[in-house]
Parts: sequence; C-alpha cells; structure tokens
Amino acid sequence: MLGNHAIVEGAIAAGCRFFAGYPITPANEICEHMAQRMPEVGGRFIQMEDELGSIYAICGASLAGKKAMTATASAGYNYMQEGIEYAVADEIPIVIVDVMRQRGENFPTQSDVMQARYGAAGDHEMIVLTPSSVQELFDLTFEAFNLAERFRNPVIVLSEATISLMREGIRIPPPDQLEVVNRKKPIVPPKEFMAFRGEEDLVPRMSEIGDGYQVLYTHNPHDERGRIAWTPRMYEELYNRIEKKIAGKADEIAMYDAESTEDAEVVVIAYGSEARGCIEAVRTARGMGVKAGMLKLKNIWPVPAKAMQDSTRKAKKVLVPEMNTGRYVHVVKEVLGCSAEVISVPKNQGRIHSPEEILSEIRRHSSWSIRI
Amino acid sequence: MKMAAKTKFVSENTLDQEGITISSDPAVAIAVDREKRTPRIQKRFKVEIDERLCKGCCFCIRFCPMGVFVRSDTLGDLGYKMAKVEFPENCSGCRACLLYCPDLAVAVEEEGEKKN
Amino acid sequence: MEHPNLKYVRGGELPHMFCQGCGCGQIMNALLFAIDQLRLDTRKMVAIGGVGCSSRIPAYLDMYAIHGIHGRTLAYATGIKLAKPEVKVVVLTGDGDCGSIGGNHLIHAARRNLDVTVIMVNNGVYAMTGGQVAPTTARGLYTTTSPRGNVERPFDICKLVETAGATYVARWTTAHPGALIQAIKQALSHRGFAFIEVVSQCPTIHGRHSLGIADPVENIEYLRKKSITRDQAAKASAEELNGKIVVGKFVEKRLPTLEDCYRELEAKVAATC
Repeated sequence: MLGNHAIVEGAIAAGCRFFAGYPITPANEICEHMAQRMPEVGGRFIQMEDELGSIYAICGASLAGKKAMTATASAGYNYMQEGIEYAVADEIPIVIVDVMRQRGENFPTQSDVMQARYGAAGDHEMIVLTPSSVQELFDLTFEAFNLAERFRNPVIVLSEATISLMREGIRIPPPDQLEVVNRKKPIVPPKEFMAFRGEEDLVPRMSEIGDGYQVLYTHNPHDERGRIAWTPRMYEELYNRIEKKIAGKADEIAMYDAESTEDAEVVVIAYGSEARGCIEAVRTARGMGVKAGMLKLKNIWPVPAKAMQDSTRKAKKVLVPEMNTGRYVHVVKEVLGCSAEVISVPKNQGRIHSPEEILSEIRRHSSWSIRI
Repeated sequence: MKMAAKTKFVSENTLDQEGITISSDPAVAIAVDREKRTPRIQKRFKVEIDERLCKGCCFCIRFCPMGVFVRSDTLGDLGYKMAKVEFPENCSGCRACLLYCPDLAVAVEEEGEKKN
Repeated sequence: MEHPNLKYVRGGELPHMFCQGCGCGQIMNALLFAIDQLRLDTRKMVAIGGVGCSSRIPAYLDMYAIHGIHGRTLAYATGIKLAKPEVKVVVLTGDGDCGSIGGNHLIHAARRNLDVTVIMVNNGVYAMTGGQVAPTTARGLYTTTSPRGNVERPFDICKLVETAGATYVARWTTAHPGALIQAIKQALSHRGFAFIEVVSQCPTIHGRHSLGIADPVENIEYLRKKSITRDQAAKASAEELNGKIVVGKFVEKRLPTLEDCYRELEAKVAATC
C-alpha cells in the first residue's frame, strides 16, 4: 500500500468521517484517496479553496461532532498555523498530516520539526508523531485520532515525502482488535455544564453543535463557561491548564522503540525515515562488537524525556541524525546534554542518511577500532 | 404609511374614515390629531427604558411617531445622557422603538383600555 | 418588563460592547425578531462571527456561537454544514471580514450554494481596529490608512456574490428595520446561500472621521436619505444614482444546494457498493 493511502486507512479505522484538503504535492494522494473512500464509509470529503479553508472547515466539523482531518505539505502547513492556534485555544480535536518537503521542491526533509511544535501563535503544547514506515503511517494516524480525542488538542502527523510516496506491505487489524477513543460527552444538563472546566485529567467534556448546550467558542481568553473574560488571572488559568493537560502526560504519551540501549555507549536517536537507515547501522555495529544502541522516536513532542534518559544511561555519545541542518538535536541536548555528549549528524540534501554513513559516524564516535 | 389627518372613531371595532370602514382590527384603531399630537386610542401602553442598558443614541426619540420619548439630563449606568419616557399616554403600541433600539433597552407592554 | 428579544440573549451579557448608536445592536435586534417570528429552535442553530464589531454579535446570542478567526467564518460554516446538515447556520460578518480577508471563502461558499444565511454588516471601515480603509469605503473618504482620501474603487459585494452564484441576495440599511426583518426571515427560510448586506451607521469611527457626522441620529438619517429602492434605481440616471445606496432584494432563486449534491453523490455510491 502507498504511504499516503495508509494514512487514509488509519484515519478511517479511527473513525474519521470528515476530510477537507487542498492539493499539494506530496500529499495529493491523501486527498484523492479520501475523496474515494469517504462516501464509502458514510463520511464527507471536500476540496476547499485553500489550506486556510481546510483547517477551519475541519475545526467546524469537529465542533459539530465529527472526527476530522486535513493533510498538506510544509508550505501549506505554514498557512494553517492560525487555525491550529484556534483549535488549541478552544480545545478542538483535529488531526493534521504534514508531509514534509523542501521549500518549493518535492525533496524530502525533516525541517518542519520545530514549526510543528512552535508554529502556532501563543503558548501551547503540541502532540507531534513521526512515523518511519508505511505500517507506522497507518498505526500512528490511528493513534493520532485517539490522542486528539483524549486530549482535545490538534495532533500533527509528520510524514515525509519519502515514506508517503513509498509502497510497503502493511497489516490492517480487524476492527475488534482496534481500540478507538472518543471524546467525553457532557453528563449534566445545559444550565450546569461548564464547557471549559477540566476534569481530573484537565480535559473538559465536549458537547457538539446542535445538542442544546449553547457553548460559545472564542479564541479570546475565556472563563469556564466559554464567555470572553479579559482578566489576567483567567488568561493564565486557561492557558496553564491547556498546556499542562499534555505536558503533564509527556511520558505517558511517549511512543518509541528502543533497541540494544541497556549497555550502549553510543546511542543513535532518530525519528521519521531517518530511523530506517540508523537501525540497520546500529545492528551492523553491534555485529562488529560496537556497543551501539538505537532509540527510534515515534513522537517528538511532547518531548519523551524519560525515554531518552532511560535509553542513554550508559551512553557517552548520543548521535542525532536528521534530514535538516540540525533541529531536534537541540532538544536532545537540553534533555541529555549534562549526561552525555550530544552530536548533531545533519544532512541537508533532500535524502536520508544511508546505513553506511551512520555506521561510519558510530565508528568515529565509539571506542571501538578495527584491527586489521 | 400615512396617518389620516382627521378620523372619526365609530365604534370599538371599526374605524370610519369619511364613511368608509378601513379596519376592523382594534389594534389598528389609531387616530391622531396632528395639531395636538394627542391620540385617541383604544389601548394603553406602559413604556420603560432600562437605565442599565440605554446608551442615549436617541433613535427612539427620532423614530417614535407619537413623541413618547425625550432626552433626559440624567446620566445612565454607562455614562450617557439617556432617553426617557415623557408621554407614555401617547404610546400607540406601534413598537417602532423596539425595532430601532440598538441596546434592547426599551420595553413596551399593553396596560389596558381607555376611552376618549 | 423587558425588551422581547432579551430572552434570546445570553444571560448576563448585556450591556453589549457596541458604541452608542451602533448598527450592530440594531442588526442583532432584527435577527432576533426574525428568529422569534419564524419560531426557530435556537438549540438547532449556530451563529458564526469572525473578528470585528459585527462579528461580536454571536457572542451575545443564546445559541451555539463561534467567535472565530478573522475572515474564516464561511470555512467554519462549510465544515459544520457538511458534518451536521440539520443545524441552521447564520454567519454575522463585516465588510472587511467577509469582503477582504474572507473574500475567497465568500465566493466559493456562494458558488457551492452552501445553505447558510450571511448577514454582512457594511459600515465602510475597519472600525474595531480604529478606522482603516475597507473594500467598501467610498472613494475620496478619509480613513486612518487613507489619510489623503481613499484612492481605490469600492466593491459592490452584492453584485460579487450574485455573480459567484448566491441564490438570495438583498441589501437593506439599519434605517429600514422592518424591511430588514422581513429579509432576514426570507433568508433564514431560503434553502441555499442567502446573503444580506446591511449598510450600517458607525457614528464613532466612520461617521466622525470620514463623514464628519458624530450624532447617531444624523448618521442613521444620512443612510435613510441616501437609500433608493431597486425599482427606483432602475429608472434613475447614473448621476442620480451616484453615491446612493440601492436597497431591496436582488436575487431569489432555488437551485440545488451543496447538501443536495452530496446526498445525490452518496445515493449513487450506496447504489454501487
């Protein structure tokens, strides 16, 4: 199956029944496959007039009770920032797929990792998933909807031109093996309902348009009822809760695969399609006797700090290969900089590192040397 | 809609203008004496302005056909010189003030009947 | 004793933030009269506003309300209508919110014949942000971003949406509240894209700065005097029409809405699956 098609199937399996998008390479196949599939599963597809229309249409559809998604590439993702900010402020569950590509070109890249987290205005947390194979495109898109519904926040799936346009065999579990999470609905009558009062998990229950709860959704600072409240205290309380509901669960949200990290001296931390070459290099290095380990991150935000710390307990060097000029390496340095030397391994040519390149980096930084 | 200059009130249910019955609806039975602006009306209306809401735009003063409202010198809660109800007995119940008020500050309620 | 429309206002929200004599309050009033006379169920309605003075109206209504991003009201409306077609959508927007930043969404929503009612409040200026020039500001007028007079031609947004495919188009002013209420009733009952432009006074900004009229009553009188009905305009010469506001209903027709088209498509898919 094509990577982009796997995204669509993952969304449908999670219950997505509304898609609004705009054509942009390399995300076109997502729109096209959605146009085909949505009527078949009782959902609706619309090609909007631009990316701005797409992001707001899915906000509207989510407020009306549907699980909604859009897909775009880096340039289109730029346009959507205000919409993402609105979804954060009003706690609207939506999923956005960003198939990263170079400016104006369709070369693969991983340069949106910071924009995915910090692009939207205002203080916020973001959940950003980084699949590295077609199977993970299915799995993580499915998981993205569950996370969006659970936390009432936008969730970004950062695909890349590499995996999105690649074909690989995947396994789609039957529906009874898939656990779908839905948003919490109100349990009190409209007069008592507080639309923005967080429960124990700091996430409020969510009503839907047309059910009589008469909620006001505004991106201005608002109180628990949703009314505009221009007070500093209200502003702080609202945004602290919105951030904390995700930041406080960073370790729970963390998704990763750790391999051979228990005694590793050199650990490679990678995400996305970069991880594909790295895992092969690490296995080869292990075969040669190098104590190398691999931490593949399936979500890069919120930062899986505990996972990083646990997998680098014995590490002296941490390599962070990326398909950009070095971005996420700064985050890794912040987490691990005191306990290990964090080294950036950037490649900004529109292609991933080959296993040989990673292997030579591991060799360079390890205490192992070939005896001929 | 033009007001008749002089109309003759025939009975409770009809308004006879120069011998022609033009309405049998009592709510339409309005006669105006243009010179004195004193209406001979069937129903009485209570008119109130909410001082918490009035911003003194004076649309009610301008658009009331019966001259019920005037400008007051009292400052309302919002700091504007408000309109006030000066001649409620003139009110014909047309409710133009309700249509024109931007602040939903006016209220008109039917009180009862009187005969002239 | 209270104004009959107060029952439709969110509790504790009044007095609203609109200025003394602002048309927004009158338009909110007219909308509520129309909803009341049509006996609509406000639990099955949603009001969408963008950013600007007129876009604040939804926040005061006791129904689902979206105070959304500047210019994107019709994008929200598209998503909501497709996701839940039984909900009645009313969009309250301004000349800048709808005609400038939201122009693209406006023409496409009209083209799709999306079943919404759009009430665009045209006060000829970006009032909320202090009085910048708008796409409907008349030529030659002073605004803060046209301090030597506006050099651009203004839009006729009613003609724009008519060309884009709207199936109900009307223009009234705040000086015609009775006709406005009737138009809103027709628009709410209309199946398809219904667009009403309401030319409104803005005594605080447009009145004072551009027209030189500060008094609210004089502002609304100005609108009344400048209005000319559609039928009168058809017989008038170009000179007589210069500077006049043509009011009336321009378009009313029945065409398949976006929802009708989707239902047809879904029926086809269901038949083949």
